[in-house]
Amino acid sequence: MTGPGPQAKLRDARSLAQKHALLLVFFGFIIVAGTISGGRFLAPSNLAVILFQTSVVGVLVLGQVMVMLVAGIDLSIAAVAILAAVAMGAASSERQIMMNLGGFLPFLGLWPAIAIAFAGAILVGVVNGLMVVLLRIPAFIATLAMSLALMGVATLATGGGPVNYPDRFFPDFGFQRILGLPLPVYLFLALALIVGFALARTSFGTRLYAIGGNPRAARLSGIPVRTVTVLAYTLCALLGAVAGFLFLARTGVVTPGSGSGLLLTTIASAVVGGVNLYGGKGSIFNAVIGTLLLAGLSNLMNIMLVSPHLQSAVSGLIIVAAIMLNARLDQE
Amino acid sequence: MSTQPLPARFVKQVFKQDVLLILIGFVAVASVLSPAFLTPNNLTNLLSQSALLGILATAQFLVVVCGGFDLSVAAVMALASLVFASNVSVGVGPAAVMALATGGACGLFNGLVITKGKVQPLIATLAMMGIARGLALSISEKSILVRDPVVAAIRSFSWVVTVPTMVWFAVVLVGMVWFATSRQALHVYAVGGNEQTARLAGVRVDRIKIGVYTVSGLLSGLAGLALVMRASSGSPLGGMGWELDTIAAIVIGGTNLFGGEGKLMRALMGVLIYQMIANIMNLTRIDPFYQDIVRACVIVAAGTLGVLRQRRTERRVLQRRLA
Repeated sequence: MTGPGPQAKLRDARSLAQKHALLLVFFGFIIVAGTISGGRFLAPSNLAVILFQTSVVGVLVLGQVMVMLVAGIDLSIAAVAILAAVAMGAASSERQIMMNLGGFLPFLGLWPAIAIAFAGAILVGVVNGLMVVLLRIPAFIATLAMSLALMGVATLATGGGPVNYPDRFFPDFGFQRILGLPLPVYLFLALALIVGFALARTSFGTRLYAIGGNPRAARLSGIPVRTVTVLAYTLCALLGAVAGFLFLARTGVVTPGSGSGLLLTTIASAVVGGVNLYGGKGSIFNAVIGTLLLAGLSNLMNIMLVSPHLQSAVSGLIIVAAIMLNARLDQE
Repeated sequence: MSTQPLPARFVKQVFKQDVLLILIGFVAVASVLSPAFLTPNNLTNLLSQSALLGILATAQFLVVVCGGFDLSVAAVMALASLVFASNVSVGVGPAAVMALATGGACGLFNGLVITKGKVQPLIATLAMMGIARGLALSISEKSILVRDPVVAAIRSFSWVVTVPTMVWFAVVLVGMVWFATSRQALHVYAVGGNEQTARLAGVRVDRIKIGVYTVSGLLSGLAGLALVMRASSGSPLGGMGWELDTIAAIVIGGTNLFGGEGKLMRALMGVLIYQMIANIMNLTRIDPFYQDIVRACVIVAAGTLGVLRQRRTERRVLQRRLA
């Protein structure tokens, strides 16, 4: 079919454009953003800010992609992050524990507090996975219930108030800079490389894609579908705890309500990055590009002084437009 | 089947009504736990509190039966309530029409994005949730008080139940008649059961879907009006998190989350059960922070029940095929 000729060349160009549609959109956005902000968007200090802000959502996206690859979804991941941040922040500081009215967390010290938060996250992930695999509750209901429960625990742990005085280690980590970029950015990029490598080059990654693509075929070809699925949810929750750590490091403050917008941004970033909700499709590279695209958009609207409420409306429209474009290109 | 003795058949029929049994069980437990539960005052209150969620749950039910989700119902309700509150000076009638039209437009947009744009319902309506909530908040960050004699009169009117409850019951009644009699309702179930088969059978799938989402938006707009009648104000933050409550309620009411299966009457009972749990926890003064955890457990239990129910149906179908 693909003989030489002008038509074939056109088709090649087109398929090339389709393959890299997201990148084209991304660079197009950067050019437009740079132009209408009069260059302020492209200032190195602003780009560093975007990366800094992306680090939390970015780590959440890494986890979400793994779960979405097996045709699941984790609606509890933002709650895991917030609860982990609350636990780390509260249990690491004596001053904070004294502030918690009615909270039940004791003072543990820095490293035990971090260990407790990560252990809790692993437990949450395993329970999520088991609810999906054994009880066969739709992932979206199971993790939603988990999210509700975790927010309840977060409120109980702080007595409803904010965590203002975490151990010094957290802000110190958050604002330590190497070559102009804060440490959380490096942590995010390192995790993205690791997860990206795991998905693309290891048998674990291949199995995730196989399960999401066709669970029956995966089972028949000898993949331990249940174990791998539970593992995906567990790793996702673990990354949620890492994101909670980064959140606390970046802001130094956390309240049980801090995570409200985080979840939707996470899912939207993954979907804009071409990760399929029905499983089996998506790559970490594209998901990270999707995350950067949405973070850049939000940053641009801040620069242009768009009111935060309108921002939510505008990003809703743009998310829909981006996905429609993606679907159209995919179809052809 | 007909060879079984009558009592056995009767017992079987009763157990088919599992949602009703759960509802009755909850009423029994609640009246034992708190003497305040079975008072006319508390029951009127319970129905009044359920009304808004009930209207939204009816919208959600329609969409879920058709194989989709509408995560924007609560945000559209808030937007519609603000559209009404900020335009009420024009007159109650025109303002109400504007509020309903806003809801309908949001729903139509959802439907078009999902059918023509091929965006998954979860994502499309999630985006609409952000859009509607954002627009509502940019109309006003705080609640707008409605000082209109007509609205005040409606608000204070009560005949056994309050006006929002009447609106809810009316919606359910119309819905039940529609589901029982119309051809389109069959098409909705068909699309939710298996879209491909429905298309091959000649159902205009896209048109049904667009209609379903538009009606869902209209009902959300109606819920916005009911919100104003209940609170005398339009509220940009009204119904935060309710989109998920509606889904939980209809799942408790036996609706299949993957579409094609469910009864409106049972979904309504699901709403009552869901609200009763909150009501009981308030009456028995359980710490509000624990209430979230209890609700989470209820959702998981309802989800498990739904899965068990579906497996039972599947097994029965299989047996029938083998017989």
